[in-house]
Amino acid sequence: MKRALLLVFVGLVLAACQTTSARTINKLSSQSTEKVILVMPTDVELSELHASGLTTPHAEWTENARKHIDDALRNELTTHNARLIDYTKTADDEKRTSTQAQLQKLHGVVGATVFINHFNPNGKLPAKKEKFDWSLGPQAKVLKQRHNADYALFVYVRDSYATPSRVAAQVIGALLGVGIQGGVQFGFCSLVDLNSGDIVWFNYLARGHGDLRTQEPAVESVKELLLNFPT
Amino acid sequence: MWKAAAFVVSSLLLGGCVTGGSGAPKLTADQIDQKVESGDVDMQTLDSIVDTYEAGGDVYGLEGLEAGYRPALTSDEAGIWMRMEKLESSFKTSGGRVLRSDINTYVKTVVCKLAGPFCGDIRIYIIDEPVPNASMAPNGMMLVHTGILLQFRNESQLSAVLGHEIGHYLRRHSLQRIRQAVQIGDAATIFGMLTGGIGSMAAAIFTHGTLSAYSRDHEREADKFGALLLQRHGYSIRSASGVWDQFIRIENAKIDDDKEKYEGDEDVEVSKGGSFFSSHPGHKERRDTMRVLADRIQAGAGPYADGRKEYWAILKNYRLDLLEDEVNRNKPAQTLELLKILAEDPESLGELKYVEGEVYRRRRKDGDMEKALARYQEALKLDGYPAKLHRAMGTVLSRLDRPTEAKEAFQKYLEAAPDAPDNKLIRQMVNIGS
Repeated sequence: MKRALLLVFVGLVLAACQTTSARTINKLSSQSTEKVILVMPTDVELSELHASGLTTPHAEWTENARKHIDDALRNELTTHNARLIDYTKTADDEKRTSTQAQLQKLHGVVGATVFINHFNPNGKLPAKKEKFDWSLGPQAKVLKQRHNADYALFVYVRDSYATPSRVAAQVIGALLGVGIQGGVQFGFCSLVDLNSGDIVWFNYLARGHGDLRTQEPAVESVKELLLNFPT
Repeated sequence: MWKAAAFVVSSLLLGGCVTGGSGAPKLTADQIDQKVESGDVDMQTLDSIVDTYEAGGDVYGLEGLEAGYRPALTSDEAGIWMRMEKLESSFKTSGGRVLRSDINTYVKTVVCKLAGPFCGDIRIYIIDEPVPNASMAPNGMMLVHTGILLQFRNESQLSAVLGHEIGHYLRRHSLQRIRQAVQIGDAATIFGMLTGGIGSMAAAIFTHGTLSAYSRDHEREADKFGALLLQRHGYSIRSASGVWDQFIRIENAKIDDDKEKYEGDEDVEVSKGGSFFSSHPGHKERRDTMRVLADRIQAGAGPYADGRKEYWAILKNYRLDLLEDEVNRNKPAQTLELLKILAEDPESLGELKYVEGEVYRRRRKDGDMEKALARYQEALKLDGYPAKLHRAMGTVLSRLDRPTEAKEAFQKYLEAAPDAPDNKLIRQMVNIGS
């Protein structure tokens, strides 16, 4: 259901073409000398888009995209004067009682909510008064304690590619004067301050082009995703 | 996001089988594999499964899957598994998961018995959800709702459903359905665009209807698979078929609940389901098929077990919790019918009578408090009623304006459950000094 909503919003936002990021800090900070960012497992899925609009996930593309994104993130963020560490899954992550696992699920919900209710003009929450204040809550401290990190970076990406049958439908549509959407690249990332759990920077990407299956265009997508990242 | 995924999945998750019909040409295991690969599974294949089985063939060998199988990374199947694995990791850490070890161990043991060499490929998640259902994802993630555990009377009924789900996995029904959906969807889209208007509507109806029919065939095949696994492990197929009789009775009661719910709403026509668009065959067809199979492969020989003793040994620790969840669904006619069904077994009848009283107490129609009280009084003469019966009785007596008796009932509750968390509250309510 949410995905359907998102897709609708992607269409709206593409048309509106407005700013795609928000932040509450300009500079990264740390109590110690070194600023450490914990990179959470990238949530990525690449799919084929069929003529009917049905999408089927593609495992090989997804694996490649994950690698390209992770590499590009690393390269891009080296210029930000912070040390990156990877989140490594443990057996504890499979347990219901794992705060770390629950925080990742929570971010999935909060991130989508930020996108829908902060950036989409029709989804604005009046009580927020345009203020960007979103948080995962104080439990985020658990990540700080476990990993000795100041921030956590969450990345969510979905990308789809038209199959030949979809392309055929697009061609027929064009002849008949009907616009049929091709593949869509959609993603968002957020930086969470692990002292407070607050999202201090958020940016999204929603467009009808790009290709995460190969390295070069993937680097370009990641650059777009990291727009206005705090220095 | 997971809601969306779950929605997509629920249309892909499978929860079936049938028609006797002999005389179909017999297929070799290789030919069946080919059919499965191409997505062309029909009733002939179903019959061939039974034929192969009757000829002493290996049921497990039919599906072309090997134990420990994982799809190649480049295949469409790998993509589907990838999505399911994500969903599975969210179920693993879900607050809705039942973690109690006895029920988990028990269901796992039955699945392993039925699935044989594929035991390690199937992971079971018992979900605290009163809507009776079970489903299988293409990667071997099996979901079992607590609500369906309440519906079974014995291990053969549980095994029929688990065997059905295992059948979906081994026959890769999800994969077949997704391929079919892509193919038919592609063709219908182009056809609809070219013809426009009524043509696109016809294409949409055709697509939905065809996919539903395809789904029903898979359910039938899985039902057949379930029956064969029952036979292999010495369970009575006829006893298992009783689960469909039970579902039919509850489905009939559903009409009463729906009438109540939609009373005065002229837009809603209350009727039983079952149509061109149904994803599953009707309960009656499924029961009849099981009976035909029972006659065909369990004629004479025996004895076949129903596994009531084994099932009750586990369920007795849970049943009251599950019954209370059932009452909370607020479907009184269906719950009362279920209670009648469960009362056909002799254990803990007082517990069932108490819950019957609860249905009336919660429904609160005219005369329901009197009905509730009568059920509690009957329960007191039977085995297995819980201490909280006295509390419910106190509440009902208060409502009926019988304060002295109400006080007595609450006092009995405090005596019977001195450590209950609401002990102090009840004391205060009835003004009993501590």
